[in-house]
Amino acid sequence: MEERMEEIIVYPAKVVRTMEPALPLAEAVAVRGSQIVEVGSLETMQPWLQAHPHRIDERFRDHVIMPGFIDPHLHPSMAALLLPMHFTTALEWHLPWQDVPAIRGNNEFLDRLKQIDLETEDPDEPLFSWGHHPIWHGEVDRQTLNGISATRPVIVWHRGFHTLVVNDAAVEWMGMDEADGERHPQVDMAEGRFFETGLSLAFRYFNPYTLAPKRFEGGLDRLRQVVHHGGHTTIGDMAAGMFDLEMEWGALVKVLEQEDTPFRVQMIPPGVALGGGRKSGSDLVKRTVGLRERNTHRLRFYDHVKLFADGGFYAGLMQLGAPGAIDGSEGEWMTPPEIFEDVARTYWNEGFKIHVHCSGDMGVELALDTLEKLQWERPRFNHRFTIEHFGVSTPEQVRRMADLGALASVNIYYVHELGDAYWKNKLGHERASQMSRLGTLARHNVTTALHTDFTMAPALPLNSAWVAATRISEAGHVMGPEERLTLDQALRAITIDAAYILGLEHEIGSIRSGKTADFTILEQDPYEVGAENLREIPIWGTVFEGRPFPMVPAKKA
Amino acid sequence: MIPVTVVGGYLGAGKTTLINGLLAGGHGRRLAVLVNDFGAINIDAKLIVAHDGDTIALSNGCVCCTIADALGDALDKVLALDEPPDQIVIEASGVANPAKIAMYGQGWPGLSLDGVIVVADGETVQKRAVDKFVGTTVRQQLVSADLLILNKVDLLSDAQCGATNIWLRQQAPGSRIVSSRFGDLPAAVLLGQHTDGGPPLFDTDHHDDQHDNHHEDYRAVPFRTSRPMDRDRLQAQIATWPDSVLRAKGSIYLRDDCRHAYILQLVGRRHTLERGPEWGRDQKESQLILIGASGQIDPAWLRGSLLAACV
Repeated sequence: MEERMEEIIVYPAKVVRTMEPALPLAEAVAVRGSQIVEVGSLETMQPWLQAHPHRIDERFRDHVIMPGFIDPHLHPSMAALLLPMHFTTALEWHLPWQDVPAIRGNNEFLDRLKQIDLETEDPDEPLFSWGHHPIWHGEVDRQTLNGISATRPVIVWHRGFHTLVVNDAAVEWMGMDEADGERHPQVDMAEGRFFETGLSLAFRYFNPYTLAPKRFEGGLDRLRQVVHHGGHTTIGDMAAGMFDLEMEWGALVKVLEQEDTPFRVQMIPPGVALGGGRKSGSDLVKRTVGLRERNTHRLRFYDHVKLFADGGFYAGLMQLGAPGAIDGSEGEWMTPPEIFEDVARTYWNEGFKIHVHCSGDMGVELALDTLEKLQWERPRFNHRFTIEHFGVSTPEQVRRMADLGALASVNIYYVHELGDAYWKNKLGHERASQMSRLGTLARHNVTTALHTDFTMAPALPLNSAWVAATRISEAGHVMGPEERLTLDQALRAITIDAAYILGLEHEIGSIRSGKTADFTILEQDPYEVGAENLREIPIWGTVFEGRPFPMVPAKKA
Repeated sequence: MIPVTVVGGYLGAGKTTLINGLLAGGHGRRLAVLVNDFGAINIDAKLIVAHDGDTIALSNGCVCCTIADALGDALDKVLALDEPPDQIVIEASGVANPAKIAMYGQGWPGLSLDGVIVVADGETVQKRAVDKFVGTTVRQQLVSADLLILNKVDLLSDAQCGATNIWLRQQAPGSRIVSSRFGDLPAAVLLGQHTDGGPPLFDTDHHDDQHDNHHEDYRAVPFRTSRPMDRDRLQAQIATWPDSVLRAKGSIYLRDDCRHAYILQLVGRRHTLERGPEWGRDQKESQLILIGASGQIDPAWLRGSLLAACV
């Protein structure tokens, strides 16, 4: 089809950091439509400019152009559930509509709740707060929360999601029978506390409110702001349909498939029901392949699939090898190992790129044992089998990953937020300081991305890169300096190497001719400011498929 | 309250075979069986009257539902049925800790916990219990059993069977262990005696001969008295009952609360004594059925034990 050529727009910049080793630095980038025509200098791109209509756009003259940032693993639906809630966390969060200060101490925590109560105009609106952690905030119970409000439902949800506490008004609002709570072994009605399986009982009453379409869509709209705010132009939804695929898909299309949404979402569905159902192979693949029929421009299912090994890292349910946890606690499997192997084989033999959630070293071991078996049965090159999260691992496992061609997508924020807590309570210093062992991965040339698993960590790629290059814990300790990445490695892990993990390195992740014009526009050059200051760099905005999207003042919370 | 029975055990132990047996069985009870996946469930097509996505309705009144990822939602769906079931059976996933699943029976609105049954594959359980990936999981499952089923004993020699029994007893102290071949245990053992009408699961005649040839290994012992019982004495007596008593269920007339009937329920090592409805105009009396292994359970001794709890 003959198409009228759009004019070329040339963006001169203070510097263009291409993340291409063949041409790492440039002065300008020329874009036509959604595509990069050439990167170089105004002089070098003259043949293009003389041959085609063009204009020079000076708006980034004093800025630094980088490839659009990529977070290959976060959870829009979880974010949609959580972002309408009030963040009351021990660590600070920079959200587009609000800077959440670090809250430390019991009094400060309760004061913050009181303040939220006062600021909420509708006296009946439930106050959902997320981020409580007894290590920093002390204990709260039903009586304490009655002190916040006698009439407004107050719900305090734990940072690690496994406990919540409610006040009298919340119990009444939920409409639950106190006797049911009193019978439940993991509910303490006197203290207003629901934990572990007791949470399902609480969410039975919350879900109609928290997952109501309007609230959920509002949450997704906030997620849209968060993703732009972090400077992303591509994200991976690494368990698409985690609550209810049809409900979520409808909301995702409605909120995100909009002209003014400046990013795309790669949809990676779970390959098997989390309970570990044993579906027959061809049905499983057919269902997963069938999801692609619904793809839109920004939301795309493709040949990637997610599997789960062991339990969550924040929840402390990772499977640990010897010598186990200090407190003797045991992990869990999310998928029975035999079913894991069956399902992995099914997708492997169909050519899928498999991502495996692995929190502890035994989770990694299961994934690698399986990969080794599959390589023996049916060798594949360029298979992109990816270990996701990578909380606890051994150096030998990294070597084995290199041997088997596995990749890593790492949550580095574990080191920052949990480094001190797991040192003292769960793993001891040696293993805690070597969580998310990026340095070893780099030494073995294992392609590695950084992710946030948002809302497990702030969706701020420069913040992730900062932790990766410094390994500074929340208490200020440098945890495992040998496992740091260099600045360049850390920035690759949020751009070109993250694109590789998503299988999109031929389209995005670096700035070169022919790729999609996705840029993140910075006010400072990361290579100039150095690793220590990465997270302080202001972001002007992004360019998505050739269209500039400056940061706009966010809608007020 | 609808009683919930949890069936746990590692992959391949025989949970599904046991559940297939319950779904096809002529026990006269309307069961709702919650499974992880229909794939392995083998339901006779002639029995299916409706199949709606995640629910299969059978002509014998049973329904089978998939849990997907949300047990609470599945339970609510069952509770919302036009005719709620007599009992709910939850198949725990192969790596789940059944004790955790049991908590749904202990606190979900409208449900009460019957007990936790864990199936162990006689051939492989000892090897699995030291597996580098699932050893801890398997041992945790065994410990959480109220009633432990040593399955596939047809594949074991007598000596192996005895040794596995002893090993299981060490793993799960206090748990009651029964042997089976294909999970083919009578519904009365797996689900308890049907107390509110419907056909009895066993003949509860005083005669020692059993009518049901398949289940000749088990028998039911009925007990009835209008004398009130002392709560502490009853608890003390129950503590002396041998492992061969697998289940007990019935109403108890207690001296310290003459207005209410109390419901005694025993599943393997676990028992509860909870306040039930007021007697009203009903005759105040204790009425109980105990179920145990035929060769081992001594009806006269058990009746004596119960009488010793009376005042």
